[in-house]
Amino acid sequence: MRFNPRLFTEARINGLLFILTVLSSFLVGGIAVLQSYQLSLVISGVFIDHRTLKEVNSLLQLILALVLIRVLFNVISELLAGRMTINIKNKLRVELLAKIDRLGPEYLKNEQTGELTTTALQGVDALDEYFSQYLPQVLVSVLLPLTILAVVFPIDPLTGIVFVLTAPLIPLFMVLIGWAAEALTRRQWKALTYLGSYFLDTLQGISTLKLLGRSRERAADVRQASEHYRQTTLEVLRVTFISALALELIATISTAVVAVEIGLRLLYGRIAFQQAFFILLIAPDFYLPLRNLSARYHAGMTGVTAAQKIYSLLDAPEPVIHAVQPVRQLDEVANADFKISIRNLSYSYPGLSSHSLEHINLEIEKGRHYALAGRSGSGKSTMARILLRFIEPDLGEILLNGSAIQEYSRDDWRRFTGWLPQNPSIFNDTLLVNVTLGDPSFTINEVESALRSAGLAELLASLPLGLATPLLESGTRLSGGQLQRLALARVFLRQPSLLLLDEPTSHLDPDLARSLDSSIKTLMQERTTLTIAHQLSTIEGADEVIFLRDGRIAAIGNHATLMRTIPMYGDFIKGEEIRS
Amino acid sequence: MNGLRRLFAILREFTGEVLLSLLLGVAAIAAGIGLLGTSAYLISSAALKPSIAELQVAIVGVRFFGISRGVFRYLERLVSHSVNLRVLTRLREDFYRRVEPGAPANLAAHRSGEILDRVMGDLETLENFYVRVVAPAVVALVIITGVSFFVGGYALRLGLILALGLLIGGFLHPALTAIVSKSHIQNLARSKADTSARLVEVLQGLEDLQVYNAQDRYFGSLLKAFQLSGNLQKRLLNISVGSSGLALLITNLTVLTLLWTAIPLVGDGEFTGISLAVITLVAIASFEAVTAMPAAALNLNASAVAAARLFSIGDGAIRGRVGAVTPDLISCPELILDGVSFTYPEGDHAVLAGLDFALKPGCKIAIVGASGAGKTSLVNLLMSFAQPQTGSIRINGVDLRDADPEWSRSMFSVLPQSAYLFNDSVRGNLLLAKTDADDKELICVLEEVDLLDWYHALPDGLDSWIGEHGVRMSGGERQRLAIARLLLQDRPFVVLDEPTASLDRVTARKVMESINTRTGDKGMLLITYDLDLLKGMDEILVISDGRITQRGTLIPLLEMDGVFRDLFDLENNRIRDS
Repeated sequence: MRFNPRLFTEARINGLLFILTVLSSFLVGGIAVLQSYQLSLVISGVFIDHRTLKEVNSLLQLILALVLIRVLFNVISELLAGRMTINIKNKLRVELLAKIDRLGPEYLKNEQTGELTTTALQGVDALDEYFSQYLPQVLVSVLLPLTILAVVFPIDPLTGIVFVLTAPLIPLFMVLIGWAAEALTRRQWKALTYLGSYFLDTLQGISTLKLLGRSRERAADVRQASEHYRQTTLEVLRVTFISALALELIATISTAVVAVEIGLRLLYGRIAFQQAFFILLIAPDFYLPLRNLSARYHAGMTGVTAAQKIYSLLDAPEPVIHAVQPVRQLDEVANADFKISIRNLSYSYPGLSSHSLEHINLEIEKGRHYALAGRSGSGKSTMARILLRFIEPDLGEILLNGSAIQEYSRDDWRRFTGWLPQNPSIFNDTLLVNVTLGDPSFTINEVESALRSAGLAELLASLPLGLATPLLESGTRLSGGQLQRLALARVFLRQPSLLLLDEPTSHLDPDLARSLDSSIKTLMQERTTLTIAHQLSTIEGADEVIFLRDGRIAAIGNHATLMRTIPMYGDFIKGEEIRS
Repeated sequence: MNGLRRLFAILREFTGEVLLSLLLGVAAIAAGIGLLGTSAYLISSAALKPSIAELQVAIVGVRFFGISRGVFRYLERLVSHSVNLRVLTRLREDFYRRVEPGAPANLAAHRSGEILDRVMGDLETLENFYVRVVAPAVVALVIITGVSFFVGGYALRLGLILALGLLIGGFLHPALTAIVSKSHIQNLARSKADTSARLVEVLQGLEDLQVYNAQDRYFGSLLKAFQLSGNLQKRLLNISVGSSGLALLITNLTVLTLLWTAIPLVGDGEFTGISLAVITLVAIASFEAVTAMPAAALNLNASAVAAARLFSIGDGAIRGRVGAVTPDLISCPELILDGVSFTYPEGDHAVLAGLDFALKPGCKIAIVGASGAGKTSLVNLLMSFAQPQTGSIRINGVDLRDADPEWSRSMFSVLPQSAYLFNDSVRGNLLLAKTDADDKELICVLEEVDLLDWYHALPDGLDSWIGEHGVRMSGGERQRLAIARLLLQDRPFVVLDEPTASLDRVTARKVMESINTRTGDKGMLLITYDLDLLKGMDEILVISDGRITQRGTLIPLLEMDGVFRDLFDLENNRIRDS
């Protein structure tokens, strides 16, 4: 049924804790049975045998003791289940974070950040009820009725038979009606999701509605859609609730049948009052675990649905292979002459049949500036992402001074390379941390000098708290240009040997653009750079332009030569459709 | 608490359904109590071996309660959910009507979507106010009263004991639990919101973090946040475990106290042993009425917070002025901006500072400026989404401040920078612009924006669904559908914010031609960088830092030294690679 073997494994890993949880919640039920038995002795003693309070007082005291023990075990079982749940949730979150790290930004590009956050936070929280209520309940709902049966059969076989015959009806009906409800929900699904999201869609598009002059009258549509939603939902609920009705009916009618059946046998003296009363007391208890299970059915479903999302994330194929053990230290080469050779490299994105890069052969020599040019989708950023080791090529290899880059650890490689993205991220933290990204090995002097080189000296001077100024709170907003400079400072601080850049394309203020340009030029000096070029001047200034088309290198050379010899390149520079 | 009063006011509108659902809720629990009570009566009477006829009534009672309980419960759930959904409808409509006049300003927030997320969450909490708070409390009160009177009928003392036990279990204990856990719940919510914001930040910045090998540090601090959250959860767990243990204890102690008090009364002959059995089982069964109360107490808290928050949105918003001027439709309108300055409420510098220009029918003005120069604010002012602090915007002499904002907006067809497409069919999206357009007209306008091939490939023609925010379309297709919507409108002025930004050059030319054909006689305001588009303009305004720094036609501007030429050197330096 609603069962996920991997979720069960999570619980089993908590071994003792899980067993104790189930055991103690089973004991809670067991003690309740015992308590009912004592209670039946008291009532029967007073009623049939005309005992006085004094005579039954010890029994009542025993019941009180049982109550206390039951409360104790109740506390223990809930506490254990809760603790176990919190542990499992924490463990899953740790795994999820580690997995996200391994999947890297390449994976995140195709996923919505919001959805991932939901999976890691609310999704994991949705397992709460699954572990603390549903899973223990599944086992208790098997164990406890069996125990009650074992107690009842010797006392009154007939009632035992009624129990045995009616109990299986509960899960049976649950499944049957569950199917019917699911089919109905599926049929109404489109209407339900459309009507359900209508209100949010309206609020999100409210300014467009206003521009179109439709916002005032939309209020009536909101009501209509809502009313329609109500009717459709009620239609579905009418069927969904039948499963609860069936459970209720089976449980209550069975209790009624038992009551009448033992009542009549009492009348003919075939059963003692105390036994009859005991059975009446525990008849509801017999059905209770099964009813609880169905009440928790929803929690179980939510948990399993959440688990599917969590495990599909945990099982996602990882783009970067870490299997190769790093065997080389990078520091030795970094300052020496280096040469990167790209040999017959191909890459295609998962799920896409066409290659994003195909048979790329390229030599990158120390101290030279390379520009990657080509229309969007030609493979420029794929190239950069492979060099940054966010993705691993399908075919071919990248050699640094003759040895594959996989022989260096990812950390080492990334100390060697630097990356200036188009849209750098800013973190809700101080300016200092935003530059060092929490690396304590940089000195204040180094950070300040990096900020100066990046052209942020003025900003730093204007901040009352200097480097300690929090960047997102307290109204300190960085402009687009300043944000670019922050990213520059990050690179200046680390002085990478190979620098990859993605040129900004947003419409910056001309003054800003000019000064940013000059900062970037300083950074590029005496460094090996590979720029994803969006500006003519960059292409003109590059030692070599790598012209990409449909994932292949269409031409390599300096700009002037390419303009002269490659007509297709000229078309591209002029922004015309490329003739093939 | 004012928020809760408004919730009750909404509930009063559905008094009939609310009463029915309460009645059914009471009946369902009463049937459960009745089942055990009559069963106890049946068995204990049977033990005295009367004639079977004497048991008939009890047997019928047992059967009746056995069947009716489930039926009552089923009906009660249906009716109460219907009440829920009615409340939801009312809440949504009210909220929309309240917020609409001041939108979009009152729904804007630092982080996009933040307010809407909260609104949807609050609505969900309030939607369940009836089922989770009101109904359980009322039903519990009725049952407690009924059961206590029933048991009190045997002996007053017993009724009082049961009433006391039920009230402690159903009201005092849940209230105390809610008070004790309140601060922890708030802390946990805060910790969760904080963790979520941090996680989003790390996910969005993972590229930068990994490039600098900083991911371990950031993941480490996230793990610490998870740990903290876990600790808070453990504290809450302790409270809830203690509370549920206490509830169990209260139930059992009440039953035991009843027995201790009742047993001597049987000996004294106050009532029979049959009654003792009945009282015991009725008491045990009656506690079902209070099981939902601890959750109800917590929900009451959450509902009060949600209501206060939800009802405060829109209350402080700019409203359309009542009795504002709605001038007659004018044949030859003229738009004049006179010294318009604008500063955002929380901003420290003017986004627009002293803007002057006039737009006449058939006249085309372009606005050029770097991002952040104030172009979007200008559009917002024209739309009456905000008002200039100084200066005025007039249409044929009528200041937009004095005009009905709806009327002002009806003067403009606007293509905003990111036009919103609704989760609807192609037809539904287009008809928003012109309700009475027929299919021929719609297809014609699709052809004008070069979407005919796209249209022919659609599975259901105009009825094809475009998905949430138009996810089933490419960026260029979305832009062109928005332009098609604009072309269906016939209004005196046209405002276009970078209409060709996501289109390739060939398509851009085609689409712009259609726009020009349709709007030749109208006043057009065009925000753009596209040199192709600037050629046909009557006047180009160059804005930087909120001021018009240069104005004129293309050729003289290009020959002049200044921002415009710099911008165009930059623009020409850009490779059009999309």
